[in-house]
Amino acid sequence: MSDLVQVGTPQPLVGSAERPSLEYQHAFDLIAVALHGLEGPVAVLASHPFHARELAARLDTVQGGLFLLADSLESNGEPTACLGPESMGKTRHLEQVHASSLAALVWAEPERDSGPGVLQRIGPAMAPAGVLHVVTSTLLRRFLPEWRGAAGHPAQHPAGHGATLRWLHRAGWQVEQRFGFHGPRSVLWGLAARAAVVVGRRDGSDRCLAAMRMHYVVCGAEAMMAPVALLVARKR
Amino acid sequence: MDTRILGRVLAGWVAWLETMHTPEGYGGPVAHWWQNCLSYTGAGLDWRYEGIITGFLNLFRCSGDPSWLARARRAGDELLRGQLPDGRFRHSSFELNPYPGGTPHEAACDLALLRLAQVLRERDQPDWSKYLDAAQRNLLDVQLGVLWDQRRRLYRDHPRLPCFVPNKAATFAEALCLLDELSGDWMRIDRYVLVTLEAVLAHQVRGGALDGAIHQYSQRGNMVPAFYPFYVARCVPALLMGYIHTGDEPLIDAALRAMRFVLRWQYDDGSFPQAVYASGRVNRYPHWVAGVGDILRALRLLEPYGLQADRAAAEAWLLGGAQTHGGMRTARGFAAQVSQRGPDKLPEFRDLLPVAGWGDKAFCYLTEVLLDGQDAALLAREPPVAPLYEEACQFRGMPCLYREDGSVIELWHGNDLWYRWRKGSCWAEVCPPERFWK
Repeated sequence: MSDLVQVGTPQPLVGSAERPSLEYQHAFDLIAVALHGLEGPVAVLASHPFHARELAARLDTVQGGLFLLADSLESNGEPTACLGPESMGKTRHLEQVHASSLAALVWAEPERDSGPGVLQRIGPAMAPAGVLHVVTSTLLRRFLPEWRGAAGHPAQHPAGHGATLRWLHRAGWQVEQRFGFHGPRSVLWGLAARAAVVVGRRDGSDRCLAAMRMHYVVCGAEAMMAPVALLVARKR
Repeated sequence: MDTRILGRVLAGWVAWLETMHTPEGYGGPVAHWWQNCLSYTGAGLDWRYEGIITGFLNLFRCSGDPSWLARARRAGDELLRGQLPDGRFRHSSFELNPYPGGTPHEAACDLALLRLAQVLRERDQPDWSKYLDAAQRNLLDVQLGVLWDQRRRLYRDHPRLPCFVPNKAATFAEALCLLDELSGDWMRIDRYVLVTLEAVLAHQVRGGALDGAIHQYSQRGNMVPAFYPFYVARCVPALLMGYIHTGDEPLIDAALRAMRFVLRWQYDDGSFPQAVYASGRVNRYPHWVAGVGDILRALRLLEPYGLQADRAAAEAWLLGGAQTHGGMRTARGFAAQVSQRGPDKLPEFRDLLPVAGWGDKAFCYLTEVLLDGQDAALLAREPPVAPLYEEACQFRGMPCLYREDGSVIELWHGNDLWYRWRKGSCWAEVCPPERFWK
């Protein structure tokens, strides 16, 4: 792991008061809670500076050190000041990680073409009880601000939830937990909130929005029906 | 207000607040009407600092005890250390944390820094200007540099969207006004402060049952017909400050009308509804408890200007939220946020959860009451607070036990641990996503 650089305190982008959509915030916060108590190093494999920035900001104080591997940081021309120029590594650096050393790895988010290959590299780097967190998305992602427009998406060709699940099973990973963010019931409450405004019941709308947030997170197979999902897996 | 109760509550809260302190600042989970922040629990450089620094300065003014000034200074130093190169404050978004650029939170931090600078300058402390400089940097580079819409002459809530939120703009105006006062440069009062206060006035309802209410926000000029008594009250200090500086009668008239609106909606138990709507409907729950400090503060500020208000019921409501370990409960009725049916006998987890960024409002108000003539030494006479606080509560309709001491906040359902935050840690240790939401 010698030539991988430890991530320092990230610097936010100047002038940006924007936050990711609530779906991604939930996913990133969940990862932060899960990984903060871990002993041993954690790696983040980010397909886009968006993921890299958000995860680095939340995981910069993990006990065993954080290593950030993101191929796209230089290539797409986005500012990288938020991560510090010294903190960037590439996916290929994963092979330089001492075998079986990582307590956890966050993979956000698998690309259709490179996914299986990346997964092959991840396996040997993980400690025996190491846990893999994979941030994925489904076709519903197109409703999220991050995925609107023609460019700047958080992944170029996202593999999606289903394909990632299949790869994990084939590669011998046991998926222990699946979480979806903004599940079907939550979507319905959100629609009800909009309808309430249309009929002049803003009080009802606010109550529906509270219900929407309360039902935001779904577990198990229902995660497939949310725009953003998180898979938690361990090597069998 | 009973002197002994005041002393006990203040001494307790100060002791509890210390348990929330980390090297980076005051931390802890946050419960709010729009969103919760129960996962990220690290320091939040947000509006909590307004009440904390102001409260400590009040205690210093009242007692002359330099240890209170030292605490205010320590809090100010945390804001300075947490200021980013672009002028924003780290993790300044309160319920939306962990993100910088929070509104009105950064303007509220500026206000706190300026009040600290003011007190230090009065006492010829040589380093007072560093607090002024930090506030000025945020106000000029971020609040004006990023959020001020030059074309519309409007303080926006977002760098690109023409969204105006009166209470946030009021905090900005109040901070800018104080900056001018301290720097002696009065250019910004006309250019920004009065323009902003005029925009707040344009959001106020005139006539009818809602006379005095201030719209929560407007987007592209369209007023959203929702009125939050707590946020209406937060507009008052800026309106009053504007009146003191200009003598413009419409400003004091607007402030008085605003608080008369708030008082008309007060319940017999001293509480206030969460939101009132144009139709006259209300979302009553959750009632803020600690946050009522800001309503009481606005009432107190306006009494010399002719507002007739009996603060006793609201004070009793506020003091009724004091917990045995010194914390101040956040609300009553979170469990009824969706149904709006009268809350069950058991409080919800978030009702009990003391939040530094709500308790600071009670602290600020109660220390102002102390300034009105009470003896600050009564804090020292109070016995130490109980180390452990346990209370039966509910979460998602299930019976639970809230448990807090100097090192941890927990929520238990039987033998199952549902939530745990070890004080000082940046993230909750246990916060299962299927149970908790943002």
